[in-house]
Amino acid sequence: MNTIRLCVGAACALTLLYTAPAGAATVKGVISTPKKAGAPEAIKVTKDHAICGAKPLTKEEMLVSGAGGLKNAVVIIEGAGKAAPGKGGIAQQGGRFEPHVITLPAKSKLEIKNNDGISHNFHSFGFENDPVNFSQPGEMKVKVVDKGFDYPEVIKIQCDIHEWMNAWIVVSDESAVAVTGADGSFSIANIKPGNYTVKVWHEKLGEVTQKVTVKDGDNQVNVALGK
Amino acid sequence: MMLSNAPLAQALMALFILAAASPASAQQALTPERAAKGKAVYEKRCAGCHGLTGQGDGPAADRLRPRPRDFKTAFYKFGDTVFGKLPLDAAIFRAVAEGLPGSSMPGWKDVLREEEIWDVVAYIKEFSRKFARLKERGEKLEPLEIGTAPKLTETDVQEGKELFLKNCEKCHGKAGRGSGPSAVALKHDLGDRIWPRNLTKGWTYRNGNSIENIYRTAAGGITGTPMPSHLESLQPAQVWKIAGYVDTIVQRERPKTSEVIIGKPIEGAPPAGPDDARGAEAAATLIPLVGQIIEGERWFTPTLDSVQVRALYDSKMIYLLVEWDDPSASPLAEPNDKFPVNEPDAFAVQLPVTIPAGMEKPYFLGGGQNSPVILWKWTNGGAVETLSSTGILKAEPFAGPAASALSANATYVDGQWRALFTRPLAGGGDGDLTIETGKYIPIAFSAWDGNNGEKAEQRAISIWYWLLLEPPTPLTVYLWPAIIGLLIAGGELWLVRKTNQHAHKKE
Ligand code: HEC
Ligand code: HEC
Repeated sequence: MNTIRLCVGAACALTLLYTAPAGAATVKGVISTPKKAGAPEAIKVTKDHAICGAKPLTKEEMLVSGAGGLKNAVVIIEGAGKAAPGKGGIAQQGGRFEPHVITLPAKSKLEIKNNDGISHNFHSFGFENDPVNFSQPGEMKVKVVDKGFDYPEVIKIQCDIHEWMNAWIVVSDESAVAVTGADGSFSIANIKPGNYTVKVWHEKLGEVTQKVTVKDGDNQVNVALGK
Repeated sequence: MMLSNAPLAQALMALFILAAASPASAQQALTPERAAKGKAVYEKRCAGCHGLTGQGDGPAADRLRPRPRDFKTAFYKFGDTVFGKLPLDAAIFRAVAEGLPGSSMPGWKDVLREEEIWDVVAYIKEFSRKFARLKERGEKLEPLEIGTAPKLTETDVQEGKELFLKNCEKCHGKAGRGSGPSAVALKHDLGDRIWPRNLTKGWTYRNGNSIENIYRTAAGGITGTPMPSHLESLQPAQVWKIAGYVDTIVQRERPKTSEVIIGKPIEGAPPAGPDDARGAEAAATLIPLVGQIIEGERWFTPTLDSVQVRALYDSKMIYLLVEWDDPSASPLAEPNDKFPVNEPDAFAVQLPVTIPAGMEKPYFLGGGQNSPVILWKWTNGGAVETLSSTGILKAEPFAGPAASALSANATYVDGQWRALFTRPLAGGGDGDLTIETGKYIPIAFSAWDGNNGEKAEQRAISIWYWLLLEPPTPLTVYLWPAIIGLLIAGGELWLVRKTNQHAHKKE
């Protein structure tokens, strides 16, 4: 239960995939940006309106809360533990990928759902990991990709049929990983006290690293991107 | 091993080469020695396009779409493996030897010896560490299995059509002309815009257009592009049915081009529109179009590659029916965020102001200072207009009795524009052409794909062809066509050479 409460939003399911690193410290904080994003822009749906336009779609590349918290940033504490392979998941749903950003332990399987009943395709843009691009028609409700996520890498996902649909998979062999929630917050538990490098990645604002010293108990790590 | 007897050594060598050469793509051991030999070939023949470091960034690359392959990322399109997997050596060999039609990648089998091609294949593989990594991992590439095409019944082909509409239509369009709703928003993995193939034009397929080739593409997809693989979602038997259907819509050979568009006399009701059955009374002439790369803002990336023209006439009017494949009717009703450019499609017929007496023709790109031309220009969503032009950017509206009687009626269906231009034969005034029967009248064409950002001088063009309205009593003496044929062949060669010169300018 403890772990579940500590993780945030979309990061929950995936945080659980990692074997908890041994340690008593928790690293939490807020990833923020001074960039004002305003209300997310509406997406122009140009086909399959009945399904893709059922709920209005907005761009997800830059989601900033009123207080400047950055959603969908990935936080990795390097060297805190090795990730164990598991199974991640993502769904094509309502003309978008849910969730928009996932983390995936290296060598994991990936389960891709099509909840829309219409044709999508699943096109990944890996380099270290061979890209894939397969058709996922409406009847193919679930497709499990057994292998092909072996190397740490940020991989963009695209449905070419619906040009606005994209998502990101951050493949990592680190176990201390989280995706920030709507307020930009994250929390990673069970870290052994010590010195680490924290890496933060965001699809628009890029990557920054920061050295941190983790002590027993709660440790606050706030990082700002796009200054 | 050293042989002192040189002739013997040569004979042995020749035998060895012969033996190795027998099946054109027999697998060769791609040793580091081979790769070292391949370097020289590469730097001489390939680096101009593919770049010295193999990253697809040679001096000519910016002008080429598709771009030359980047051998470092190693997204080979036609590797005989499934999407995303490295290519088989034999597939790379085939691409180098045969070339990739519909792109600027030439075939090298007439220039390089087979041994040299293997050398260069060994060399280009070294640009990517992925081949070495595959070896380190102890993995082998799995060839995409094709087998032989099954016998397909009519029902199978009908089923194939339904599967096509379900799985391929979104990109390739209902009629396979590459005009599906998703076609206007596709990108290559490395960022350039890309269009689905027009599956009806078999001569533009890059990787062969046999039913087996079509099966291979549909089954495995094309690495680095939006073209997905289908073996995850369909049974091989279903993919064969789709290939069987595509087999029925593909025209494999490029139609022959004729230098002269023969106009046929008609009596009675004139064609009412571009889809009128009367159009079929005249033979169609296929006219190639190329990007305008000669003057002003040059255009290296046209999407339109040809137009079919038919001409009819009666005692008063000429009816010119033009048909060209265009992946979209633009401006788009639903423009997308990815490529917001949304200019209107357009088409122009170019004619001289007076019929030249001999072989003299105005400058083919919009006429010249002393030899003006007129343009009949149709713009989607706008009016048809007559322009008088004395140079590529020097066109001005032109008024006159024939000009005001000019009309154009166009429809767009499943990736194809069909337009009917109608105008009185008589020019009826200064500076406008009177079209006479039995005379060779120079005629040229321009087409704009607005969704590709084409406007003004950025467009696809043809060189001059001839329009000949066949007199009601057939011409008996045809001396001209032979002479004209020669002249035009010269003109085409010139244009092609010019195109190549520009493309390879810095090579
Ligand atoms: C005039 C420019 C040009 C030259 C010269 C050229 N290429 Fe290419 N090549 C291209 C282009 C453009 C493509 C990409 C075509 C496409 O994406 O469909 C390509 C693609 C390829 C491919 C990829 C095949 C695949 O399956 O993806 C190989 C291999 C290749 N070239 C090898 C060579 C070699 C070897 C040479 C020299 C012997 C050479 N090329 C010379 C333009 C060129
Ligand atoms: C998401 C869009 C998309 C879908 C769906 C799609 N294609 Fe394609 N297809 C493309 C694109 C883009 C190209 C051109 C790739 C290039 O130029 O390198 C292409 C090229 C092709 C080619 C040409 C190969 C060659 O040798 O040049 C064939 C054949 C083809 N597709 C068949 C199919 C069939 C059959 C289906 C359905 C089973 C299908 N495609 C579904 C986008 C798509």
